[in-house]
Amino acid sequence: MLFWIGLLLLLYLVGILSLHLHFLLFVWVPLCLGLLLVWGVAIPAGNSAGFGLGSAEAYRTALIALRIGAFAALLQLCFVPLLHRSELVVTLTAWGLRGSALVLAVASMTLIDDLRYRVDQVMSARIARGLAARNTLSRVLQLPAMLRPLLVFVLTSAVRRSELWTHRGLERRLAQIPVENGFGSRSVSVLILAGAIAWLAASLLL
Amino acid sequence: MTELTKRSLFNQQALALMPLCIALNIALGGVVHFLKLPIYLDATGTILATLLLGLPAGVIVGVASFLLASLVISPVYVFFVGTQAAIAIYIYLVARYLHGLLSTPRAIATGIGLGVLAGVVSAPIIVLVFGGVSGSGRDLVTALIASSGQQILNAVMLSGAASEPIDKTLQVLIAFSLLRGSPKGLLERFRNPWLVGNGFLKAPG
Repeated sequence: MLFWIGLLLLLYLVGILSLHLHFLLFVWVPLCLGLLLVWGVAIPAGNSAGFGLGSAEAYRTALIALRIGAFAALLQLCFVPLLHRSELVVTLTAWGLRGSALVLAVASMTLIDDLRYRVDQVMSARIARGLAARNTLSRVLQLPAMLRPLLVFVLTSAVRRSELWTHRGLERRLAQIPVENGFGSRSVSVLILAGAIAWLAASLLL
Repeated sequence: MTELTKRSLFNQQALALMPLCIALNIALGGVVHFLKLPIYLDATGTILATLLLGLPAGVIVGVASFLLASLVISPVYVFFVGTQAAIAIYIYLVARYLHGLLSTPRAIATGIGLGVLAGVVSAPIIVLVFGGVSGSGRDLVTALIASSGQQILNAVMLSGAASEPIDKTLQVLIAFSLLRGSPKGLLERFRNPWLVGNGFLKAPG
């Protein structure tokens, strides 16, 4: 609990606390309600031990809720600040991504906003033409009509982008990105990363 | 052939489409979240990438989109990257060897199978990491099954097998209708044997 509170403080200092609060409100709280429902009501009823949250179940649900919250805070604290658009290429290069993997990672990060913008455009155009209203039911019914222009945009955009990359000599530009040598060897870095993942998995699963 | 594509598994066209499919997974997930729909639609890009570009691209799109979604949407996505890989493998095998997207009834059967597979593959993760809950309406079904005396793993597996086929069938049908309605000239650029085998493109000659 203290660990998580410490992480919350760090998230506030880094400026991404609102992202974590959004996670807490829309993901973590429903998960906790689900835990109460399954472990507090359903399982005691199934075990013929009556309704209510026993001490073992209460400890288990609290532990699960706390470790999910702490894990989410840790993940957001470690990675989200590194993914600002201005520092993206530098960060990913420092992580060892090269060539097509680097292209894939950078393009994915930058295209999410493009595609969300396109979704908004299609929806706004349909509302402006009177084909859709702003209420939820109407938006649901517009989903199939919205998907087709979205897919055509995706395919044409991919074709144009690949031609553009060829014309602009993407591979030559990628080769010009300087490779900075960090401290330590690659094998030590891999060992540290594997150890961290093993520790995290053990903390989450055991 | 350029230097990039010599060293890479994919040509530049595939390399340009894959990030768009990743973004599609995340953007559609966002739209569904915005519309508060009781579905996910977070594997549509994975299914499209597998059908258009093949198995390795489908697996990469699925895994990468969930890794990215864990940073931009919710950290819990990271635990389900294996499910996305399983979805890509299933779609590839069914489309390539069983022509599971040749007609609407076949697409529905493929979607139901995909839902059962996704439910079974994600059940151990849901039990081990989340204590058997998913934070959605599915928890009511899990609770109902668990209250009848079933083990929690069985309850999660059964609730997954009951709820996932609806979402996954919808996603397969969406991908199916999108590819059926796409301009053939565009699809020609991504020609492969399973696009032809499932009737999305005509066989040459």
